Amino acid sequence: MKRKRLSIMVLIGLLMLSGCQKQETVQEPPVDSESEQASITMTLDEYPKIDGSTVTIPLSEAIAASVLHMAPDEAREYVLHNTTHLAYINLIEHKADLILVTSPSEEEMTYAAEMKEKLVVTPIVSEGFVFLVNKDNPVDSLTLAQIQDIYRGKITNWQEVGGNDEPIIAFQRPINSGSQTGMFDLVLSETEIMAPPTEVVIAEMGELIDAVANYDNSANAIGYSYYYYATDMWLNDDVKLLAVDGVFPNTETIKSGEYPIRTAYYAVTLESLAKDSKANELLAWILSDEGQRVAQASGYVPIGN
Amino acid sequence: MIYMKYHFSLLGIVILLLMTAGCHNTDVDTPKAALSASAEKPWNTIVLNGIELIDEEIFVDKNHDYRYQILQIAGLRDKKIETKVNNAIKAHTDALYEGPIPNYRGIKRLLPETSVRINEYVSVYDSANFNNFLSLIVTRSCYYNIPDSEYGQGIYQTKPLNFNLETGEQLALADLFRDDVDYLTVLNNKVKEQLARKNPVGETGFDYVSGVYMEQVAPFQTLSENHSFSLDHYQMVLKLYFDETTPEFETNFSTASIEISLFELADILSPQFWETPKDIYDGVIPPTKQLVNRTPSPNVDLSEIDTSKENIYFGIYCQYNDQLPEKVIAKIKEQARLDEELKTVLLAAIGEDTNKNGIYESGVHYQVLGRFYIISRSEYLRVYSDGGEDDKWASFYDNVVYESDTLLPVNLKDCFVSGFDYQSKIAEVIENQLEENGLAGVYNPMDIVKEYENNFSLSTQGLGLDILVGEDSFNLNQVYLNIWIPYRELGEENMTIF
Repeated sequence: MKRKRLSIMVLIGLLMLSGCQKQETVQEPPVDSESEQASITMTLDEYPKIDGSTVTIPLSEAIAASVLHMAPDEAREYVLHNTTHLAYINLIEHKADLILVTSPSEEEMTYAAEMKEKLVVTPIVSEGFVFLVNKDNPVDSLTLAQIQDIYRGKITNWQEVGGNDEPIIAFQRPINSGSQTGMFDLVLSETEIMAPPTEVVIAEMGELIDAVANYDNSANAIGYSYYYYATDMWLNDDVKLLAVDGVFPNTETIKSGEYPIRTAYYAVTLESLAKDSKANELLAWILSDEGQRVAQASGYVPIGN
Repeated sequence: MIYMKYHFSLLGIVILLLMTAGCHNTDVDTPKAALSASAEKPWNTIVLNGIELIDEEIFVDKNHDYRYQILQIAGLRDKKIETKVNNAIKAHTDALYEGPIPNYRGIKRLLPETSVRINEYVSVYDSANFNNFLSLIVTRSCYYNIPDSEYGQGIYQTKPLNFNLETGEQLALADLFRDDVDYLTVLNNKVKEQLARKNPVGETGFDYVSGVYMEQVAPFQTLSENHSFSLDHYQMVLKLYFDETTPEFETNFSTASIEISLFELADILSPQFWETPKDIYDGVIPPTKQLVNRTPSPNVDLSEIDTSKENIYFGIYCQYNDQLPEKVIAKIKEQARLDEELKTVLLAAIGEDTNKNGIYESGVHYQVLGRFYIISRSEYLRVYSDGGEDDKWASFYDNVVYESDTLLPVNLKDCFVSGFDYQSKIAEVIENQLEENGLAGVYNPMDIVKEYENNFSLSTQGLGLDILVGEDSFNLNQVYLNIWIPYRELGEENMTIF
């Protein structure tokens, strides 16, 4: 039962952050979600229509393989994620039963309200928002306040935070990217953050345009990402993650909540979904010990206790 | 008179360029790393294969728009090898046409068994055809309806074929590289560099030149020895393909690619890429030399647009790559300017007449071909009048070829071996062009050749002259002849540029 309470608390936090409580329903997982729940089996006909973000594709594949009892290659052919926004639209328009996504945007919550639907948002795996620098940067740790001041443009030299006498190049990500949304939600609001470094890139039709510069791992660079991406996708020997407020991000510190900049990936359903639906059955299984083990094996951080 | 004035200014530019270049002729500018990767390799030319590509389109079912293209080669001296290659191409094309839907992620959710194939097209074209390498891009495009939906879905596959025409064998990645190198590690690092650069946080995906949206959804570990690839001798790149066989990437029911410059790989490539290729052809189509294109994409934009006058638009377009040698960049910048004389002409033509609109555009372009930098400047001006009756226009082209080691301008004479009568040869082509344009007898072709001795351009396969033959540059009579002469027509043996 501890897990249920935590889910609700996280959900309430999420709703407060988003400021759209009216369109949301705080609802306990409707079907047996006892952590000791055994494995479940579904046929292809029974398996709910799942949609979601790109970041949750490996999770979705692992879930499908486990529940449909298929090899991963075979299960992959049944996993169709249309990216975050489309997944929300598909859920609200009843083209999907359950979506595995990042948190809903105001636009998505507004659309749900317009369609007289309420979203039930349940955290299913934990995620940390991490900062990265070149491995040769002597700085290993920053406080959240220091990070905020770096991105406000108030701290401009690494020497001010115990590093070399070099200007800080604070890279950002394009607006609407998942990481930039995470930065605004979890670290510093859009109105407080300074203008990002830009670079000239070749756009469509060969046109050169100024775009938000990508993190280049130069000696004086700092950038950010989600822990899952940073560690599973592309972290290499030349990049290191920074501790924040003295806590280094890893599976344990993110799961326990010790790492301070933490979020989650969510399973979202509609409140109107039947309590005994296969989607709710599947959600309960995802929250079970076995479901969480499957998630962890796919590189995600379990939701924690 | 304007024409004459402009020629004075052109002459001035040429003199200025010569003086500028002359000032530095002992100070050789070394290209920076990105462009000099192949500097140690004698790799200024490739030789296009002496084969003909014969294609035919087969309509299987016109009612359903099912069709495919068959491509065959001809021209190898060894007909057994030729047959072997042709059989392999046909078998590959047939298999792709008749094959199952590729097992892309989500395909069975998207297209249930009741989906109907609306059309299908398999096409083949060559992307590289040089030094006895042949890369064919075989693409399959299908369109299905989605049951209970008003929408359909396109499914796309690219399955390239690569041959060594000396043996008729299909190439694996390993065949492109020296035997003593760990090519997979090098390629893996190149791929990781691109992933880190273009998609460092993964969740936003990115577009490649092919226009295919590609996202990384799981860690990239390694390419395989039989990873799908092709060569492209126009862009001089190795293309690595990602599709249903590489599920760590999401490619949206299509095939995406990552391109790696062959110059970046020059140190580990097989010598076959630059050595004189074996003569394996029957001679019907002679192999032809081509200057290697190593033009880097621009990453700096100096363009300026002036719209301060309501009815006149001034635009100067100039882009370059900051990895070019500084002195080349300086030469490009020199050309990014508004010609005051032409501006005066344009302003005078419009005067106070608010019913007229004017435009002046100047563009600077650069190419790096073989051991040459080619910097071209174009200018265009036009007056638009009500009804168009008083419209006037003019355009000018100015090309300078620089030798990359010395950065000295190259003239036509320098492009040919001593004693070869290049002037007569080029004049002959110009004469034919003049005749085709109704200008026979109006101009002396030999005078034109002499006039354009320092104002010509090179392309990968030919020499070009933009010849102004109009009576007056700003009174409608202006005619440009864009002369392009293939190197093989001039005789590769007569040329020094390779």
